[in-house]
Amino acid sequence: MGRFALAALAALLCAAGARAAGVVVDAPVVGGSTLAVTALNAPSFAVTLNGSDQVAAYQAQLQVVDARGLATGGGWNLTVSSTRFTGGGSTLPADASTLTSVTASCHVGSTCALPANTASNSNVALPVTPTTAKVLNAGSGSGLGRVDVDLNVAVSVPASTRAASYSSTVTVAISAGP
Amino acid sequence: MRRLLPVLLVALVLTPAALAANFTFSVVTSSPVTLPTVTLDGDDQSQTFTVTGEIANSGHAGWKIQASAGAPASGSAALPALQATAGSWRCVSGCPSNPLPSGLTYPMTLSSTPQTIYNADDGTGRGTFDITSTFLISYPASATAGTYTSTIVLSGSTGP
Repeated sequence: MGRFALAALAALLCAAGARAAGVVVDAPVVGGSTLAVTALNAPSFAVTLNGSDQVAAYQAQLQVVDARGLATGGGWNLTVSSTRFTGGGSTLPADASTLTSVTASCHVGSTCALPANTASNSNVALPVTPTTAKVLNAGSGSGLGRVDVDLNVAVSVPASTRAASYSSTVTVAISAGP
Repeated sequence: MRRLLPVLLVALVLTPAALAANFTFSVVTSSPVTLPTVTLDGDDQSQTFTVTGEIANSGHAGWKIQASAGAPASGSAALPALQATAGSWRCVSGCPSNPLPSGLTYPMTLSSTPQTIYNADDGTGRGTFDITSTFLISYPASATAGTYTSTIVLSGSTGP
């Protein structure tokens, strides 16, 4: 009788107890090949001559994609150069353009790792081609994903400037490594 | 005295049988679950996958399936925590009362603390059922290459 009572109790405990099992989930992730920078806009600005020196500004909007997925040994850098503003047979001074700041943010839909920048990019004279300057870099393990980068440029327009439509080409290049 | 003994024995036999509701839970899905390879492209990505468990229940107290899991990890790198996004049932055999889930709000972010991802309310869920849970794994654009692994611990018990 005692033996049966124990068996019945064990059955009751089993009925109420939890059963657990583990399922291992493996999720392989491979890096893509993309390391690229593209221009998102063609900036322009207008100045009305007034007899005084003036400063105008524009913003070059870029997008960097680093899909390599490198935990170590990655990173990238952006270099920039520009041509002088020319128009109507005239040019603006060689040192007319100044990079005032560079900002970086994650593009919508991309939980990126913002670039850990060590490059100087505040109040930097925009170099004239073929000279280039590094204006943004991403240390290893940073700059991953799709990053929107804005170059904010100030342009000095001397009072002696002739009325015309001036243009300058800013070239931005990306290279692997910070 | 000899007449009384069989009566007592019958009473002892019948009482446990009446109280003991049978309940079993097992995981049907084979482990490991290997997901399709994701190639990083600069944008956030995600995948869903399912895990099926089987419940056999004859009691009236309802039941629940709980899950816990650490964030998928590859070395020191980790993805966001897994999420349970849906659950469904299918009668396998003898289902006098289908499961009526209650109090579930998807998505549920899994952690090391077990939480109920599917259940059958009081008086429901009698029979043998396959319960399929859908999980979401997220790959942020900043993920690094590697094979990320997580273990989902599933348990079933009586009571909703």
